[in-house]
Amino acid sequence: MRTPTPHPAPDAGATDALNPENLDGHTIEELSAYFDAERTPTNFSIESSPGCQIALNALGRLRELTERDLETQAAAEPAPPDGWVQSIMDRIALEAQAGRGIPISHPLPTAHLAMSEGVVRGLIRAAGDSIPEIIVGRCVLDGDVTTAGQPITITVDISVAWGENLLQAAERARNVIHRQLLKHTELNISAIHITVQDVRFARLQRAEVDQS
Amino acid sequence: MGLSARLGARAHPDVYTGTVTISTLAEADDRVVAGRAADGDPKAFEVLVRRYSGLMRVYARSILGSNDEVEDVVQESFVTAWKQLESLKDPGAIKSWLMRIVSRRSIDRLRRRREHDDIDEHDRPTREDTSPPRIAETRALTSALGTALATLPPAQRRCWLLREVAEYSYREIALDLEIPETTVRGLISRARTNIVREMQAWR
Amino acid sequence: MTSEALQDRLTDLVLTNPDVVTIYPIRPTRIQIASRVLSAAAAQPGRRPKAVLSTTAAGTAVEVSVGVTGKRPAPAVCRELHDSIHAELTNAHAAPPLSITVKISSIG
Repeated sequence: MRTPTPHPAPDAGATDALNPENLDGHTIEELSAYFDAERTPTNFSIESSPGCQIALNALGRLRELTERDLETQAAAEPAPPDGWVQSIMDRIALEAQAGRGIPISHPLPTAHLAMSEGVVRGLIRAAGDSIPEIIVGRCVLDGDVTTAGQPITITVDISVAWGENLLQAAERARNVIHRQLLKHTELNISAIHITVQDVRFARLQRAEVDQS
Repeated sequence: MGLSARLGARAHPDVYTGTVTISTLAEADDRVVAGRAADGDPKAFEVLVRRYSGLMRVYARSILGSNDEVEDVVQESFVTAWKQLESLKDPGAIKSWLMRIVSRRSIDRLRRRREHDDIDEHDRPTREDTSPPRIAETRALTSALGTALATLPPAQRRCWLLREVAEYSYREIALDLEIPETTVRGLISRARTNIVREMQAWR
Repeated sequence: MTSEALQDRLTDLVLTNPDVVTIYPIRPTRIQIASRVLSAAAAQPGRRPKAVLSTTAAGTAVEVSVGVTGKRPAPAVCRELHDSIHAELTNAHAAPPLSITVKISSIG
């Protein structure tokens, strides 16, 4: 049985902080709502009252404490069993994320040829992932992909391993992605924007603990 | 061999999991992982499942109490999340987005349980506010905060959790619980005062 | 040739293209999960996904969803598949107008 990690309670006198008598005519309910509104628009009566400031600080500490408490509780949870995770993965496996259909041209009117947006995003992911220091995040295709020839802007979020030159990584990603899109699609690509979203700390040994 | 590893292009059309392993993905931040999951990468989604199931269990348990329904509710929430993930505008906000889903499901489950138990679901908040606390329901949290939460009347606790954990606005809480916004405001305020007082007493 | 036989012939034709990895069901069915999922695309004797042939008064339609290797450009492979299906339908004197839908569902 796990003993609870002691958390510091709000400072001594916190209950005094929330005592209505100390609030210069304001109520706790008013301050609580003001706190949740992130103190905007500025209420000068509240802001110039020391009693109110003390109360607002106490509410702030309670919020910090709550966040820490929840994180601690969550971290103390046992890791979900693989079987439990697997049943979720099994259940979502049949839900396709295809997106819009992207036409492929053919001279004959009999032809209805297409590729889904999901496939194109997969291409982009695979291209970016093929560069060792990069992980691809979200890919967005802006523009009407369902009509041939329409200008399309691609935006790709990437995460780059710490220590790598960000500009170079972005350039490499852009080139590889562009090549793949030119090869496998007929999209009229007007721009590819690479956004570096995250600089993560790569492990020293990239051990393949995963089955793939 | 796990299904997600077997899910290459051959078994699953329209999705390509790429050459990145789950352990590598687990190093990336929410925005990258959630963005990738929203694009359809199941491995990225698995990272989210492992990353947030703990927090979601804590939250569901604080509403439902410690029982079998918690595992169900969290699992259902993830399945719902996958289906709706494409609509997520800001992948960086995945955490609060997930909390909203589990919150809705937990409250729905609670309502169904109460209807089944024939408990008066429509207690006016002022009455419920002074009714004896349902300590059995929220014994799961073992911290001072958790214990303080357990002493709150249900309506206060529910509003407070929705505000603090699921980051609902007052208006959203009002719509969700079907009570006036002014009542929500009062309940949250009283919850805070009570929590602070309880934690003082616990010291 | 019967419709059944023609459909099988078209399916084989698609699968013999060196750049085709697999054929997917057009609309995946949701199968109840027991312990492990049986994907609708998993090979089961007699139930493998096919090119789907429909012959109506409005003409002959073929629909197929494929995964390709990615070695050659996907649009080229897609057009090639259409052309070989078109040739086969013409040989079999299928009723016009013809409509041939080829969907690329995975690359690589």
